[in-house]
Amino acid sequence: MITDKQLVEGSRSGHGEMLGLLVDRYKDDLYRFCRHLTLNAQDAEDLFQEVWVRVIRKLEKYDCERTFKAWLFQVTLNLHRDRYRRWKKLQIRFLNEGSYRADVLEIRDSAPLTEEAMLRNERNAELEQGLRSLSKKYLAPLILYYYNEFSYEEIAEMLGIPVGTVKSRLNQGKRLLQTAMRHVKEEEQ
Amino acid sequence: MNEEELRDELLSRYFNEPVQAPPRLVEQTLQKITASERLTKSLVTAVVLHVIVLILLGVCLLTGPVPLPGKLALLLVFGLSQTSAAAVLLFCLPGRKGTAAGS
Repeated sequence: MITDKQLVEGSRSGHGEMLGLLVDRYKDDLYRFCRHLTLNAQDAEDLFQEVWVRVIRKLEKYDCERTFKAWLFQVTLNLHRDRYRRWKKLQIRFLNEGSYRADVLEIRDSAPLTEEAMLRNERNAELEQGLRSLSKKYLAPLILYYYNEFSYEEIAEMLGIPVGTVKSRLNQGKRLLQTAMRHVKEEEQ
Repeated sequence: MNEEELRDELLSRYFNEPVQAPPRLVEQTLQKITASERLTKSLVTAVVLHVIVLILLGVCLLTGPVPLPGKLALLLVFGLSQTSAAAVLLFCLPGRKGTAAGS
C-alpha cells in the first residue's frame, strides 16, 4: 500500500495520479469534517474543493514527519476561518440578520426511514440547531475531540492554541451546547 | 446513565456517523485544481508580459520627440492603469467564491 508520504512526494513532483489517490484517500474523512464545520452540504463541497487547491499550493511547506491528516484538517480549519470572516464581513455590510439561509443539515443514508431512524434524525436536527448557535471557536475543538482520533496536543497544534485553552473551550462548548439544545427543545414545545 | 454521559454519547454518535462524499466530488476537485494552476500560470504570464510592454513603452516614449513632462505623464497613466487592473484581478479572483459562501 502506498503511504501518505509517497503520495505527497508524488504530488509534489507533479504526478497527477498520485494527487488523485491522495484526494480519494481522504475524501470521506475530509468531507465529513467539512460538513460538520459548515453544517451545510453545498458549503461543505465548496470548502472541500478549496481546501485541496490550498493544499496543493502549500504542499511544499508540509513537514512529512507530521500526520498528513492532521495537517489537512489544520489547512481546512484555517481556510474555513478565513471564509467565515469574509462571509461575516459581507453579511454585516449587505445582509439583514434575518435573511440567513437556515439550511438544515441532514446526514442522509440509504436506510429506510424506520421509527428509530426518524428519532435519530430528529435528535440530529436538534443537535445541529444547537451547534449552529454555538460560537465558531467552540465548534472546531468539539468536532475534533469527538472524532476520537486526535489528542489534546494535536488539537491544540491544529488550532494554534495552548492545550489548556483546548480543554477549557471543550468544557465551555459542551455547556453552551447543552443550554442551546434546551432552548431548542423549549421552543419546539 | 446521567445527562452528561447521554450528551457525550449523542455527540460522539453524531460526529462519528459515516458520511460519504458525493461521487463526483473528487473528479470536480481535481478539475478545480487543474483550473486553478492554469489560472495562476496565465496570471503570471500576463504580469510578465505587462512588465515587458511597460519597459518597451517606456523606452519608446523616453527616446521619442515628445516633451519630457508629457512622456512622464503618459508613462505614469499607462503604468497606473495596468497596475490597478492587475490588482483588481488578483483581488477579485481568489475571493470571489469565498465571499459568496456562508459557513
